[in-house]
Amino acid sequence: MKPSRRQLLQSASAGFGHVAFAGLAAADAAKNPLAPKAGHFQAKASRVIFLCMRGGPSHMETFDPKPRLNADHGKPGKTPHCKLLGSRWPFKKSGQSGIEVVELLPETARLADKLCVLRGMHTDNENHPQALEQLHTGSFQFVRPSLGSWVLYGLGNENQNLPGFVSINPLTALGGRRYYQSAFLPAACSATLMGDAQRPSANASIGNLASPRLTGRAQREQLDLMQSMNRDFAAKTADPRVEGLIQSYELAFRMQDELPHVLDVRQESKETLALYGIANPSSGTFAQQCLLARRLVEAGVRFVEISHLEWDLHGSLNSGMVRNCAQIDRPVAALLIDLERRGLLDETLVIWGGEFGRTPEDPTQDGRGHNNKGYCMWLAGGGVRGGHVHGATDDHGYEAVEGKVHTHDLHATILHLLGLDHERLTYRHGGRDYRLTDVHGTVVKEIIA
Amino acid sequence: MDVPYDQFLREQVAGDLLPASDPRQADRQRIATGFLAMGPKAFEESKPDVFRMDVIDEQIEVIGRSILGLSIGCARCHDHKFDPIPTRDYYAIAGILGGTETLYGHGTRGIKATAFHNTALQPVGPDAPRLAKAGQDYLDTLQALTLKQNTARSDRYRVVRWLSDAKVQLGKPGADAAKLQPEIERLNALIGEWDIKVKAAETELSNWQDHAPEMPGWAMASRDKPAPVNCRIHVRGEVTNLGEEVPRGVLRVLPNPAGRISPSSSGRLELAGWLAGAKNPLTARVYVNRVWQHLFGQGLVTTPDDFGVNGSRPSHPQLLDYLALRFIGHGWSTKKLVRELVTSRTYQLSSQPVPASLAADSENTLAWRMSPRRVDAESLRDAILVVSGRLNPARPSSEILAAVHPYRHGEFTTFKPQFGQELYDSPHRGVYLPVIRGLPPEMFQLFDFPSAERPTSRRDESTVPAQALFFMNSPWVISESRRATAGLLSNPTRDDATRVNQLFERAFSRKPTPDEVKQALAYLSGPADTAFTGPGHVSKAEADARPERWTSLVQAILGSAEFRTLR
Repeated sequence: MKPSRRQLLQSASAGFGHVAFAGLAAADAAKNPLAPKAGHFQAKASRVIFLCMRGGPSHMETFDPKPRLNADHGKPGKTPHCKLLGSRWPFKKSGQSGIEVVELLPETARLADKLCVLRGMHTDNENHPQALEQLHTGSFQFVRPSLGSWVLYGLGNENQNLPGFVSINPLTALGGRRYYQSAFLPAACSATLMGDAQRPSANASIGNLASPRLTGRAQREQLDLMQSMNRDFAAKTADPRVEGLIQSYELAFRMQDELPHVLDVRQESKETLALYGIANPSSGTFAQQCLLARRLVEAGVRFVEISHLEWDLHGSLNSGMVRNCAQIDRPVAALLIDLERRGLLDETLVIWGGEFGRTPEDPTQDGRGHNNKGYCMWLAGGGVRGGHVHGATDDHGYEAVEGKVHTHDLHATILHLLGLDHERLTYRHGGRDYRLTDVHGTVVKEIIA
Repeated sequence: MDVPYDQFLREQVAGDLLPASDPRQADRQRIATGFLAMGPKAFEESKPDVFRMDVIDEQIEVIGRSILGLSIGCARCHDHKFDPIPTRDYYAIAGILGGTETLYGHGTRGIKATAFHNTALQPVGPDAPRLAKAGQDYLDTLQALTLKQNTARSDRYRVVRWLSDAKVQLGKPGADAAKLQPEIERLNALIGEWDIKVKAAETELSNWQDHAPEMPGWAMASRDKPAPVNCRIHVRGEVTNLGEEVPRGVLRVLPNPAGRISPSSSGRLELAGWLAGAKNPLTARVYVNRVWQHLFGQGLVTTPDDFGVNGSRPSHPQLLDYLALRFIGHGWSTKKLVRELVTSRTYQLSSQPVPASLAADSENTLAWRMSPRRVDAESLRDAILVVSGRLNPARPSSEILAAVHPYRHGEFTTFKPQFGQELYDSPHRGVYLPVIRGLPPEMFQLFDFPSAERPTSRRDESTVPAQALFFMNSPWVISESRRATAGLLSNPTRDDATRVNQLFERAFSRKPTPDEVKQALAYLSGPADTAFTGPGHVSKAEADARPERWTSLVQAILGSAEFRTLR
């Protein structure tokens, strides 16, 4: 006997549907892709802040001193018509570890003992879009999930009132959205984007976070009406997803309350605001992002990325380095200090670096080209060895020669620190299991504390 | 129009090579081959061979997944790990596509590294033979002049930056003014020279644009290269590591009644015939499964892109075979297939749960009821416009993109991020909205619109708070709710109960229950945000508040689970 569709739609009996539904809702909760879950083994870190230096910062002007390059300044480089270009700024041995840091970064240098500098980084592509895509997803040929999406997929989110993967002022044009998307992973693993790199704002926020017309009380009343209809509907259809929908409205309602507080840096003490240099006109926007990153991870967000855009110094190297270093130095140092004094640094992995480094030579003598064969990044907190240098480039800084770490190795290591085995964190799609590291990647054990 | 699916496939893959009885048909078939040309391109790629093989790979991947339900692309670097597809077969197909010229046009305007790109497009339209040559020459010069102008601008800008650096240096304590001052003067003079060059380049370009010839229509398309060639195996997929040459051909594991490809043919026509042949055991099955999925929410095979070893087994294998054979027997008619499915008993089942069935098969794999499912992004947008009364169901009279963003021939600009949002203003259905890669409208992004960079066989059905925030707070949802309210309140002789009925019928295609009417009326009479002065007394505040209260009700209906679910 065929049940009449219309009849049944109209005379829904809540009874049996509700009973069956209760069991299904429990099963669905287990399917919530953002529910917190254990990794493959004991984690050293539980959260990530990625300070993405877009454009490719020069390694020989930040954390990889090249005395031989300075000595050979002006001699012919490897490329025709290019002369070797020494760094104009001296490096200082810093901290007990004596890590050499350029004098343009005095505040960061003070924290040298927290840093684990990777001087042997290398990656596959020397163009910005591809290298950035590989830095974020492991692949520059295909659309793949972002590192943050993989982490969220592997571990879920600690705070169910907040998004799990946030990117502040991301570059969204020119394919930039692909750097933050979940691709074939559950859509809930995509980044929540705050603001836009093309209009970088200290007040970057999330869309539709406040009602433009209703008070909280009036909105609650409206939501109560909708949720009452939703509960009727759930009972009527035994569709377990409706319960997820009901919960998502409650989460959104709570987010409206919680997220603006998390994003409201005015709640910070004067001392903290000064520590980051929020009031400084040149570094203010980046400082604000660093402070937001701390506030977000503190509130339980799993993965936060912030960006500094201007490292592609083909020309104006001298003025550009002075400007960029001044913009990031104090905020980055403040972030590390602030995380530590709040007891968060041990479990927060901070990553600094760009898609590649620079060449030691240039025809203009005030700029450097792209260099994907050798460059540096640093990690701090989250179970890495502080005050440690791993790897090296050759005497001029052309190529990584020791302790080489490929982007895939970096990804494998980041996952490892978070308690995830990069070979076991897989997702079945289009007939095969996919990994962040594809068939590559070796965990760099030497840098783990 | 119900183009038979086998004919559709032949046209998509080799329409340019099919006979045509008139120029219109020829154009239509040529335009169909845009299928091969429209994939994403890595224009930043600097190595021509890599670019070429990536284009071919994208074509093979899309053909494999969408038509055959096979991941042939896996065999680019090694024999397929699971399915019987050796690397050799991959490069046999790569040879066919390698003999094809893909006409994808200029890409983003003014990108420098395009020296090796073929920027031609396919001229179409009644006057194409007459206009094509002059039109293509015009476009080529336009591209060259654009590049020249952009290069001049960026060279000038470099000097401007040098100058500003020098000025900064000069402003610093202890600056060497004796050295810097002449440098600043020199740079100023240099900028003057560049100003002239930039101006000249701009004028040249603008003059050229003023003399645009009459243009044919232009389409992305495919056509054969002058001579067919075989492809060599790329060991581990590397362009620098070439192995043996493979004759052009198709997958050897599947039947191929047509046999070998003649030495004088690119093989694309044969490829199309093989894909669309009745003897191909996959094509019809893959297609009917997709149609089934579209109508029922999940396919008989739940991995529509993978009918290989790793794909899921069909839930009803005989049914799948029956439908595939009927489909071929009915001349590959999609219309007949759909009619057969929607008039079936299974399709007409209620979505109402039956406890025993629910306990036995909670996922509804055996199709004992209609599975309730989420309304997709485009339909959700359309449904909101239906409730607000703004939807125009007609096909737009011209391309929506052209209306919002007028562009001239050959001018493909990088779209501005805010651009996508303007498309909301179109009252036309979501299927008519253009899809701009990497830049879907906000609402589509939020509601699982798939990435336009790769084939997607099943959309996600995510439930995230950002969607809830959209319904609660988005200015667009609020304005559509206000519009619906205005419509509901426009007839002063109706009472509120009638209006609630009207709203439910429009939003849910059903009448409200008495309890629902009561609940809605209670909500409407509730205290507004503004002061409420009591029964029997309609104050100005109350009069103003009434439409707002209605707006809140409409908004709650639009955000409700019932509105967002198809059942």
